Amino acid sequence: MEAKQHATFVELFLKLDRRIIYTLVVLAVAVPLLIPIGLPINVTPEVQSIYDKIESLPEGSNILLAADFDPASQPELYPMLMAVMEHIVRKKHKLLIVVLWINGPNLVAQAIDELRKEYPDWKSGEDYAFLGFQVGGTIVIMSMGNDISKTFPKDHYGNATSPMPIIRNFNKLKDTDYMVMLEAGNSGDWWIVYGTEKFNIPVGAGVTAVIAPQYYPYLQAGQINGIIGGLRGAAEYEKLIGKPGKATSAMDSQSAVHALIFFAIILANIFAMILVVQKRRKAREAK
Amino acid sequence: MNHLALILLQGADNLAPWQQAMRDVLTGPLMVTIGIWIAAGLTLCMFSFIYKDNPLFRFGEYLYLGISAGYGSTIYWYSYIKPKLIYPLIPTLDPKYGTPEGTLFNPWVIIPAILGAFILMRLVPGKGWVSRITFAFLIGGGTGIGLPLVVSNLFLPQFSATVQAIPWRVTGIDEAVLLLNSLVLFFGALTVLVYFFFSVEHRGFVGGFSRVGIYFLMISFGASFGYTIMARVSLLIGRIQFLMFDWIGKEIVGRFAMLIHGG
Repeated sequence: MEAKQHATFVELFLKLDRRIIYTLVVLAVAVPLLIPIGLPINVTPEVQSIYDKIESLPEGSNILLAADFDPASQPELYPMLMAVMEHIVRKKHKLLIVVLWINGPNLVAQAIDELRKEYPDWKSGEDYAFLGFQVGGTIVIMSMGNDISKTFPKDHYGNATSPMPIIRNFNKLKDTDYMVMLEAGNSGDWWIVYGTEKFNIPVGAGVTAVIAPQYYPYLQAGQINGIIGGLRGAAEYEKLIGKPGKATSAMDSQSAVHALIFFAIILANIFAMILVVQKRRKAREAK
Repeated sequence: MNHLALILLQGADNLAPWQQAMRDVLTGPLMVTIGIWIAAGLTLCMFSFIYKDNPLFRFGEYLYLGISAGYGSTIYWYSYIKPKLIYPLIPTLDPKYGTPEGTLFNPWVIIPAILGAFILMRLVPGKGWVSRITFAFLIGGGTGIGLPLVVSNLFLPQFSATVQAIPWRVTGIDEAVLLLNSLVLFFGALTVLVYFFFSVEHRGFVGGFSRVGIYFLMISFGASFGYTIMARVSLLIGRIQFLMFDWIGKEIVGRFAMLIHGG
């Protein structure tokens, strides 16, 4: 009788309604957001090296930022964009921002608006230029190698780029002292193949977690100097610049969900094994 | 409609006063509030799929696809087709015609325009073959430009990093760990390549070697799966943060509190 009840419990667990699991996941996300645990965030060497590179450049260095993502990747890459841009602004580097994804420019414009509230002296055309989106992908990158102002005759706001003071010393890809690419797809490969390798530009990659494994070979080969991977990477960068943001506040939830999924996988496997053993035992008893 | 699209999408700073006023209204606090409510409603529509497929989910899905296509088309039209095709062919249509910034006549743009039009011939029954001319040009040109760069900037650096990274001179524990790591990487690359080499039957020594390659591939898939879970959870966290803080926190609880306290 006892064995029968046990078997029923195992079967019940393995046939658990998926909506119960979804509810548990939502609770694992929502509760830590309301009641933060404050789990420690350790900075990985991949993120540290991007921070160190920006930190080590002399004031006024030319940094190119490619923000190749759209709202679908906003939760991961927007906090990264904010943290990296704020670091660049604080170090008073010159910044050019370009977008190869058509639905991306307004996110960058929003980030710039947010930053300008905090840094009102940060001037468009002088300290930075947001060149917006340009169609063409690899052609755009190759064209930037010849002349950035011809590739982007106008910035995102409709202003001509050629008279901008920032463009005077930053009009070709080879003028770039460092590049950060924030990528949600394969445009990072384009930048490496058609841009940074060709013009020998040091580059760091901030990527969504889904594509992060694809970028480790580049890191291993020295083709990029660091990786900021997913929301976790963004939280690490926020820690480095000393300004906890949305990514940091999400880390407790991330850990809670990971723990939930981890235990769900372990339990499901244990119960599945128990079920197999029970079925074999029943088959033996039947014989 | 044209002006509205320009005001909203171009974000131009050189707007007429009435356009500026319209932009202020469209991007002001009232529109932000409306935007948050629409975004919250659509988020809930999408989440309703968790329970089961339903018309609200489909409404949200189709709306997203439609808006993305419409938004992209508008950007292409105003940012590329007009200034890079129509104005160079008919410069008098350019609002800046006659000024130093006006577009100059450039008949050469007709060539890419014709090639582009060829692709649309796929929509005409029996004339679809015309599009092959454009595709031949694209594939030929793309391969010609891309292949040397891919080999020199992607394939060779990756290959040399796999081989050169092996530190053969070991003087301490760090070098020993690095050597082990490099050997695993080298061995893994080799076994996976053997797994994808189908000209030899996978039996005996080759079979064993390719089986090891499968284990390396499985480890790599496991890492990708782990990262994918992390990414999807991040997206969920982003949406729940929005629902909890931007929508419920600011728009519902915040405004209710302001109402009670007479703020």
